[in-house]
Amino acid sequence: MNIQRIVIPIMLALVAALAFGGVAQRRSHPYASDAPITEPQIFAEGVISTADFDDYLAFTPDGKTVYFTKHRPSFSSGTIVISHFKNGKWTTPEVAPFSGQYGDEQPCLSPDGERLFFTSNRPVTGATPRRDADIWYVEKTAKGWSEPVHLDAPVNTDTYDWHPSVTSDGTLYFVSARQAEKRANNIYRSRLVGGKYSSVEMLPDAINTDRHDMHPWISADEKILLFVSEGRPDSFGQDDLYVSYNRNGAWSPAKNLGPKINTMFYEYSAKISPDGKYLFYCHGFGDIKLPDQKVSYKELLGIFNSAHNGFANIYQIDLAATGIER
Amino acid sequence: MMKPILFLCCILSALALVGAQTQNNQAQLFALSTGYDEGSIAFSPDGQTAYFRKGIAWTNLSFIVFSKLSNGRWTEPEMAPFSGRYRDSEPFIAPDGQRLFFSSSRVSTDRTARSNFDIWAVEKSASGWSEPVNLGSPVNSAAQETSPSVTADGALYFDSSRPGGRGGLDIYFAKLIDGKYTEPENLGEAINSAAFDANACFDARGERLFFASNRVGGAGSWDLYVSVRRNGRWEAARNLGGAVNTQAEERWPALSPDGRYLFFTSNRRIDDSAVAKQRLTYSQLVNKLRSAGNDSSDIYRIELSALKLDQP
Repeated sequence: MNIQRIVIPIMLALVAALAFGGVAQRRSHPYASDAPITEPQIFAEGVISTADFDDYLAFTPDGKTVYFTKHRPSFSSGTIVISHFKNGKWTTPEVAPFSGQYGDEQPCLSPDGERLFFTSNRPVTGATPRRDADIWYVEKTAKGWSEPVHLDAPVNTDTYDWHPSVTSDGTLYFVSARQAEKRANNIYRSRLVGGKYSSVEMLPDAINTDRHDMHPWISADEKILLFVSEGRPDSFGQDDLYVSYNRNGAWSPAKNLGPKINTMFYEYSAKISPDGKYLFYCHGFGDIKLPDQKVSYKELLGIFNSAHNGFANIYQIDLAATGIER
Repeated sequence: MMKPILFLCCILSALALVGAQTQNNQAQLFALSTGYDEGSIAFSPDGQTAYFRKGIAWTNLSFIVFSKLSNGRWTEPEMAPFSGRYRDSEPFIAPDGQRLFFSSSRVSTDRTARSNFDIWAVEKSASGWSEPVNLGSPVNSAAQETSPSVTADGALYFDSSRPGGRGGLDIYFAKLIDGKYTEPENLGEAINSAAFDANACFDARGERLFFASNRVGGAGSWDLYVSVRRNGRWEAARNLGGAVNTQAEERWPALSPDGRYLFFTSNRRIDDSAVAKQRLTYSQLVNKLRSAGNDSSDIYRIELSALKLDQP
């Protein structure tokens, strides 16, 4: 028996495996892209960004698990779902163990991944959902996530308190309508002192206006704040994304992220990926490409059943292409 | 003495009757509704063809599609021959079936859905429908004109945001004289309010006007109202009540050609009485998000008799 007849094919197979392994290696980064992403592109189309109203995502620190929100067509009543990056692909989502019954949205993981904050209309007691929304969190345990914990006053009030974001030292940024009569929604901050959030401050005028200022994302080191603002003079239409830098405790004037990201439609809830290389944000609310010619009923259903149907999706772009300074 | 089994049958059939009665008194989801946005249905005079709007929320994408009744079932819709390119909505078929009116922002391709709507019409031809024609002045103006409805005498009722109204949208009418529409007139205070008043729909005798309004005092958002014409005047409109109206939006009333059913459009949720009794799985969630009752508009119908309109 000729040993070469066996060895050569095996060697060829090994070479092939290594070559393909190289491809698999590149794909093993959950959201990394081989090619630069210099224009916004839909993230994980078909699995995470689908024909549904998909938005508000949060990555675990290793980037291998993503929590995001699926809404009804009217943008109400969210459910938080999870997808894992396995064998080079994002898995079909599952409903998060703490979600699927009440309206939950806007997941946010602490930088160490030990706590997941979210917004919910679930009742603190009883079974009737609240009319407003509050901030809740779950904590990592040996058996998975704990039961949801409701944050006490002064973070939560009897009006909308929502869209949490948290730094490494536990400082919580969030939106509240507590002064809505005077100032619409504004961004607030609460320090974690002795394990408790005992006071709340509104961010200064560099950030907040008398119109809606929402969706804060604060970097782990509390140096970069991304947020959404409505109707500023430099807006490209509807809600736009802005950045402000915390320089030795003073916030720089909010800067519009520019026309590459902001459009005449809504852009909202931006976050920088855990590895600091990408910006993720949500966009949609009616942005749809009109047909260039008459469409048939079948073609119409094709548009409806795709991620390009005008509902929101999650977008990704290289942070280097956004003008945001790290 | 009645045998027990016969007695049981009597009870069961009595229950069945009660059941049928109850069902007839409630608005039911109509067959052509899906997880996308359906609304403003209109029937051909023989009741065998239904035209309606199909679109998707948040976008300016809305087309007119039609379905035919075949062996008691509504067929898979097809695109109306005059639609499928621009934003078209609110089809209405004239009582003689010879013209179909609709609202459209053609030929604008503005992606922001803020474009101007006018009323257009197609005429029945040997090959189907003619090319759409803009009704022009004095019906259409620089303001919005939407929701056409035509009575047997050819008068055109429609909504307009033109100056001089009572606020928001008002319902106007224009008579058809020698093939031309007269200067539109506001339907007046029995119908129009400071809020939005729209979507006129008449019974066959033209004595009853159904319409939609988001005025204060309703069940929430838009509700359906009815007004009766007595001695040539419209009486003050009244809310159609809980059999039709909910805190969601109820709009676009339409009567079936036989006058038996009131059709309307609602974005009410199905199966959301309080909260799901248990946590949903992902496939249950996706199914709910993509089915009728998800809170994109759907078409409903209710037996007109259930509304007890003849009672004071």
